[in-house]
Amino acid sequence: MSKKFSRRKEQREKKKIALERIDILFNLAERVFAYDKELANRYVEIALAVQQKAKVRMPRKWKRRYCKKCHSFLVPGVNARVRLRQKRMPHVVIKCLECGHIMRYPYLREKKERRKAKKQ
Amino acid sequence: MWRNSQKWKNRASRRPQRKGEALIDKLWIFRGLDRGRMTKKTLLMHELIGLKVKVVKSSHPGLIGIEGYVIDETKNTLTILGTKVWAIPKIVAEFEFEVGDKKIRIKGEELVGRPEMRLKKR
Repeated sequence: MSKKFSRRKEQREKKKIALERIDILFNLAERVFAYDKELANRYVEIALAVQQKAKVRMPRKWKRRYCKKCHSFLVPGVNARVRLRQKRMPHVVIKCLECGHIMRYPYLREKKERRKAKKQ
Repeated sequence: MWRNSQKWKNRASRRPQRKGEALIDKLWIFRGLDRGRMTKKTLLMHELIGLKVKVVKSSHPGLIGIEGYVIDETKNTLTILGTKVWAIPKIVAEFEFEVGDKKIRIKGEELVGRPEMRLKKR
């Protein structure tokens, strides 16, 4: 019993460290990007590997900052295009200008909540 | 022209030849990052990239005294950026990392393993 408990604690510690590592790597990628794009992409690669190995969620802050297809670090206005669209359902469109991949993130839920708050 | 095509790297002289060489005069980028709560115990599982490092001991005398920031890591090497870019095998050297104001000494043999695999070890 106690053994199981300590193991779970260790697992939690591991996940915490993994989250810290991801944060560090993306921060570094952001700083390095202006001078060396490939190094920034390499950091994203390592961050993704860490995230998958530790089975943690990608932090919300960094979720939209890399391309899901070519895994390059994205900076809006430099190598990514960000647009809001309303057709079918409201969503954010992010286009990676390195490989042309398009990512869509709906924000229907947030809109509905706002509508609800307005009514009250 | 091959220099304009995106397929190949521009390797003309005075151009950066190796990965990260473009950053040589820009070491300030790595300063002042928040490193979480890193101790000697968690360093093994933590991120080495971005840390300041010094090679203290080595079986190869030429490597001793190399100082700089870690910019990349593979299974068997650390790439260090100082006044030059060095790739140092982990097994032969002993490193001294600078975390905040602490200094942590560690043998290179313990660091062997891909960066994401070190998380899982032990």
